[in-house]
Amino acid sequence: MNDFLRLITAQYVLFVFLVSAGVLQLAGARTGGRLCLLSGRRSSALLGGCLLASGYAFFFTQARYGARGLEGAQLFAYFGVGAVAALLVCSGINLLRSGQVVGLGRRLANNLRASVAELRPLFERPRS
Amino acid sequence: MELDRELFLWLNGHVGHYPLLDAAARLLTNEYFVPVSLALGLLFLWFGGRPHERERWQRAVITAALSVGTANAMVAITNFMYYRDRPFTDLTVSLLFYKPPDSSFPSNAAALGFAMATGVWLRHRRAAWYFFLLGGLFPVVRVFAGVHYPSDVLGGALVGVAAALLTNLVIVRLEPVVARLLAAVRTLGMA
Repeated sequence: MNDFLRLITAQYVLFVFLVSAGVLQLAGARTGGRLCLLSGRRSSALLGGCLLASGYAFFFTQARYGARGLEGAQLFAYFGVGAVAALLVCSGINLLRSGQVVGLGRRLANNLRASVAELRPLFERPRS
Repeated sequence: MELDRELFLWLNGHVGHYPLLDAAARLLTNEYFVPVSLALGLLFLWFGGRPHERERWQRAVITAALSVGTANAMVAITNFMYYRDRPFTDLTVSLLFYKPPDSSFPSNAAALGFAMATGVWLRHRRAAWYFFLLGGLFPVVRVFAGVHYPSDVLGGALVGVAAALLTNLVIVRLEPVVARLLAAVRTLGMA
């Protein structure tokens, strides 16, 4: 990977991280949900708008986006990296803020077990 | 074909006359602005639905995402069977974009945009306007920018719509699997 590709990859992942975090804040503000970084719907919506605007402004003023850069599969993969990172950060901060960290490991393990149990019927043979 | 060429030359002939239009086209035609904006639309639909909307919105996202995968496969198969040179190989073109090396027909941008928009439309009519607007604008701006003929866009749009309808047929048949996957993801707290 050459220097240009390395630079635009880093810029792209940061861009996706910022705008995904912004969208998650807007979604959280709408649902009053667990992804909000701030308390209050209006402040979450405002933060979401700021993150979105700053993400777009950062990438489209800094990156050489008109040159041939990342390919389709790379764009998809790096979008996944940035969006999942934003989701983890928003969820993590929200958990810390709402004091739900105690027993988090056990809750995650239970959720994972319940999730696997949901999928189990798909792999079982129907009884005759 | 002559009409296709004339329409292309007319649209591309406006490049260089209006600096603001050129700047807007450069912004809209690259691989980052519209694809990321479309993906963010899906992200919002996935997490932004209130309890009574959530089921329908998340199914719209599943249909749209799988439709994009199907459209991608259909474009790859079409490219394997048929190759069309880009406009800049035969004509004198004002380019606002780098020279893509792949086949001009069908427009990948149109196929993916319309697959996503139709996928959403099948489940959520009101949200689909955002996806049709961006997904439709993206390939048209690429004609203006000199990398596609209008018929490439038309072909791509048809491929995209067909991919979404085909995907929807499969999803309807696999309803129990989709319901279980959705339940599993929700249990994990990812939806």
